Amino acid sequence: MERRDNRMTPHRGERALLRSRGRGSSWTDRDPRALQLWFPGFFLREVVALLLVTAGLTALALLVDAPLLAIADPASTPDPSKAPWYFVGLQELLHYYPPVVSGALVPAGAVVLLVLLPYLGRPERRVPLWTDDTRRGVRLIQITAGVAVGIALMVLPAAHLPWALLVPTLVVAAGMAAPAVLGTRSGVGRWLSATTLRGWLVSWGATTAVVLSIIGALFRGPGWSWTWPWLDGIF
Amino acid sequence: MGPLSAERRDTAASPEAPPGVWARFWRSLVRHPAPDTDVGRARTVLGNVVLHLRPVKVDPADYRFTATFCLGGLSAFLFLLLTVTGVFLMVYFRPTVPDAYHDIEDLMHAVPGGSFMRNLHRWAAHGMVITVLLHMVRVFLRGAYRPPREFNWVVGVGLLVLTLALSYTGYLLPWDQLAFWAVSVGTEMAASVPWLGPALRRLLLGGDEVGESAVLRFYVLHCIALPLAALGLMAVHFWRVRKDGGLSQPL
Repeated sequence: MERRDNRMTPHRGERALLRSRGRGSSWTDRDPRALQLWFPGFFLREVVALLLVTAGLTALALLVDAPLLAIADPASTPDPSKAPWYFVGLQELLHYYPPVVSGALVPAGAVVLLVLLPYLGRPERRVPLWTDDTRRGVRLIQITAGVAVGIALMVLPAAHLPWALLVPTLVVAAGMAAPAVLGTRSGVGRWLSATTLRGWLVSWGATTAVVLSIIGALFRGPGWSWTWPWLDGIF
Repeated sequence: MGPLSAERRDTAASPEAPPGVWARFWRSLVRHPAPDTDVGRARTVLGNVVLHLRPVKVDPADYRFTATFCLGGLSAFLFLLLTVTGVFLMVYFRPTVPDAYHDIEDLMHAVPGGSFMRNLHRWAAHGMVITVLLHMVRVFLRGAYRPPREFNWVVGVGLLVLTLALSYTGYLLPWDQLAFWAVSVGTEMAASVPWLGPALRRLLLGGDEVGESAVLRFYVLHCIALPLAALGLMAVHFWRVRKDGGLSQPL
């Protein structure tokens, strides 16, 4: 019974985990009848995946040249000078906070939290934020208090209103609270209510990172002023 | 005695004629029977240094495309592609100022296939950052970071940091305005770390400015130190995938 649950889709698999406290230890625990030889069928599927990616990258490399601007000149600073795209979210944070926040606290904190992610709390027991037994008022007060503390921590050290952080924060908070209105039984409400607190915190981190990066990469121009990419171009 | 006798049955030439030079060479190269039986297919995987990274038998549920979207495998493949194209670029590149810039200009305009190799390296590098980030998202959503795989998640975080460091050190090497100012912005942010920051920046740049010693240091990190570190962590990562319960299934 439990073994069959193991092969369900992720969402249902996670539900199965909620039901069973049991914990598999290795692939040898699985039903040997379900196993198939890897070679050659699955081997060929992997080869096809690699060939498709190689073909796509080859086409890209033939069609689009990697950028090469003028030779480096320490005397002429381009405005804006942007970090590579994966760090441009931190550069956007620099707009609101002192350098020690975006250069040290946030990246170091992100790595530490990622390392600790599987160790904090009890990841083997997935407890949804909303179940049928959840007392609606209590849960809403908890969510509101948590979000209020978070927003205070974001606003207080900021030089000016960090709305690029606040908007995604409020969107994620709305998702957390939504099952109070939508219920936990069907549709979007059921999907949202099944998410754990850990899931919500990671979603918040990922959403803000993506929003900050998109703003920094596409919507910032000279002097880190706001620009519209379709009107002013991408800087 | 058991496996060897099985091999002899499967591959040895018929008893009437001794095996020729080619057959003996082939048998010394490929140490498994032909993959036309289940035993042959299993021995093919076990007896091949590349293929043995995979298990002999897998659960088909692990191999549904949507279980992994191939993201981990693609990250590893892009690392391989970057190593091959990177070795080619190293032949034409001197990590000095201003030669670095002119060498990249030559690669783009004079060296046969040079622009193709550089483009492939550049786009595969962006691609690897993307696939590594998405791989992490997929592993989280799948719950595959949970016990007993929690340590492999930690190794994965190390590989994410190394991937970003590899991409970032490579960013400086063309020594154009894009490279110079992107690295200036980034290292100034690193300098804001209390106490350690300025010293860290000086260690990374070999001075107070982004200059020739920075190019050499980034070059050594990019081509030698970081790839070796990544290779070591990747070995642990792949090994632990097998030891911690195989691919992708919530345990």
